[in-house]
Amino acid sequence: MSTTDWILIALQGAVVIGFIALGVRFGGMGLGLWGGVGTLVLVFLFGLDPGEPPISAMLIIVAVISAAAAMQAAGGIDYMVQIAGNALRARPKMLNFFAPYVSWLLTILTGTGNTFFSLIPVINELAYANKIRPERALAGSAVASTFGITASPVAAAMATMLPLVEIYNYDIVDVLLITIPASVIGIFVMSLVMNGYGKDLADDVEYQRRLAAGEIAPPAPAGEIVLLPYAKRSVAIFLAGVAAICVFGVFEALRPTVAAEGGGVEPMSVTPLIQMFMLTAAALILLLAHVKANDVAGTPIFKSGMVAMIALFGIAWMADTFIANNEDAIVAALGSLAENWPFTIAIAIFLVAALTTSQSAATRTMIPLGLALGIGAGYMIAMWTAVAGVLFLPANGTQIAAAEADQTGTTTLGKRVIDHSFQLPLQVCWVVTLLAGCAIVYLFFGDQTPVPPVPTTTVP
Amino acid sequence: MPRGPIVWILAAVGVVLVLAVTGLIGNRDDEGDPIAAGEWAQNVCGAVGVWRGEVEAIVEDLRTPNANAAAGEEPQSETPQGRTGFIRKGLERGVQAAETLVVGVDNAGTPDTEEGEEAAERVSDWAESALSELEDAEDSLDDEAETIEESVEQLAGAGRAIAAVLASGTQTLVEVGRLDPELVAAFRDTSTCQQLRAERTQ
Repeated sequence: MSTTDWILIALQGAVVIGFIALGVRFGGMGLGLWGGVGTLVLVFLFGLDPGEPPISAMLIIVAVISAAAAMQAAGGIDYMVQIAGNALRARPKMLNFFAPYVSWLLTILTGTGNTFFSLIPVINELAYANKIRPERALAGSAVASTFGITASPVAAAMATMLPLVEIYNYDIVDVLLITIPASVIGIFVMSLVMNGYGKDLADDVEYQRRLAAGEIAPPAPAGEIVLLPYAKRSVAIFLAGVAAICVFGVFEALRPTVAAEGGGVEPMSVTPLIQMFMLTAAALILLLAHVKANDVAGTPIFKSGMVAMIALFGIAWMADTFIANNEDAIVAALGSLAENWPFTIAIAIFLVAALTTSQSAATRTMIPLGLALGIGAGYMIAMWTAVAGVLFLPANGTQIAAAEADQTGTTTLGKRVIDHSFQLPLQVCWVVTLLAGCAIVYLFFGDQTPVPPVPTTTVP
Repeated sequence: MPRGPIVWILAAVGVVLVLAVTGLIGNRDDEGDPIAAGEWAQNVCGAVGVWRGEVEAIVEDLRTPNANAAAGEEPQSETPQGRTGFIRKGLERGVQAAETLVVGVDNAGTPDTEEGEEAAERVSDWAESALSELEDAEDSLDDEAETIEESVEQLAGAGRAIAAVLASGTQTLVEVGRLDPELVAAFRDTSTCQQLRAERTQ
């Protein structure tokens, strides 16, 4: 690639970063709208092919928000707040530890971080009702859910990883024995850090401004909540929907089959199942919890969810337009970095994931390179967790949805693009997880593929 | 904990820690060095096995429908493409995988046996030719097809290129293994070569 090409890529990158910064300044829908303008600039001014808007993520937000908003209209959120309030009465801050692990587990069971969308409104409401800075639980949970991908036996990224390390006698159990405990440790340390991160809600200037301006209602004490008659029923239906997604995520054989292009049939993927189950949960809440359809659209969860969808639409479309046109150059440059200085391989994996926003791209390009450079397969599995770098830029659906859900204004997408709420938990979690993974490999795996002694006898 | 510089200080400390640990783990660079036959076979079969894994993933992606491939991904991580574009993307990934194979084979060193140099050279030549053949197949997709028959032939040719490279790899390892008795034993006894054989027979 010539210097001119690199200058052009840098200019396009500057456009992406500039419009994200502009969108963040406007906030809410403005993020998506300025993302759309950025896409227009990239296509018309730089002649790039337009990328793909994140249709799947947008539709999941629509489905999940429909169910969560219906539950809110039925009073289900109030019921959950009451239950959690009682459970967390002694130590409300436990939510900062509990929520990330639940998010992580949900991703492990379903193989996709998309299921985290269903937890966002719930975690946000529980944190706010318990007067916990929502940023702590929300940002930590968003990061934790991403680490569920490399710990999930059913994730697409795992399917990409396994054929690469099987030759070194690492099977799926070995991989999980490294990634699961490593991420448990990483999430714990991250939660510990997030537990004391930022000012307490009562001292937060932006929150107090919103409260004084009447933009947000003060949290109602759990004891004063008056439950609507079908609140419990709506919660049961919502949770049954989430449980069904988990069951079908874990047991592929239960899923309906679809025709495979190469012949035969294969199980349907989890993404449309999430959409179906969440829409069904919303419909059942309308039917069995006696909620009026018009009331659903008036709930705060519905409004913030729709804003998040528009924000994601524009920002992710702009990011994909840049990435789809420059992925090869980005991967080649970072691959070359790792080839020349193998000790940078983990950083290169993180950056490829960050700049391509793709865990699969980082897996299929950087893991083989690390193995070719002679880094042990076990250590490469530990370093694979660095694909969580997809959260480095605030262009991921879960980040945008979490920031929009938090009406207190504590969870933000940052003012300088990379200073968003998810950055600290991400940095803490990926470093600790990676180091813990390496320690696990060193202590329990060693070299699984020992070189046998050179035979002294000849073999015909 | 206050916001601000602490985030960046923590991040910098973390990055330094990761670099230090990765440096301690170390890597292997035996390019041009004479090494034990068993170690060489282990390295070469490992590199070929990883490459086969990559090709397996590419072929699987080509076989399965776009919608399914995209649905299994995280959001916005893949761009669905048309069939020709999809095969082109597959070949691009094949070229990328072959480049990594060349790195792995070159890093494997040279077995310190009588025919070691020739063995290392033949494997290296095969890896280079695999890269070149896949690049040619990728370039051939750039020619605009005038008829539907030509278009189908282009796509079939791309598939044949991948199959031919896979077959020639197997053949090369078999031939190299016959060069001298020490290599026969090395290819028979090392775990990565055993795994590779098991995968081939599957």
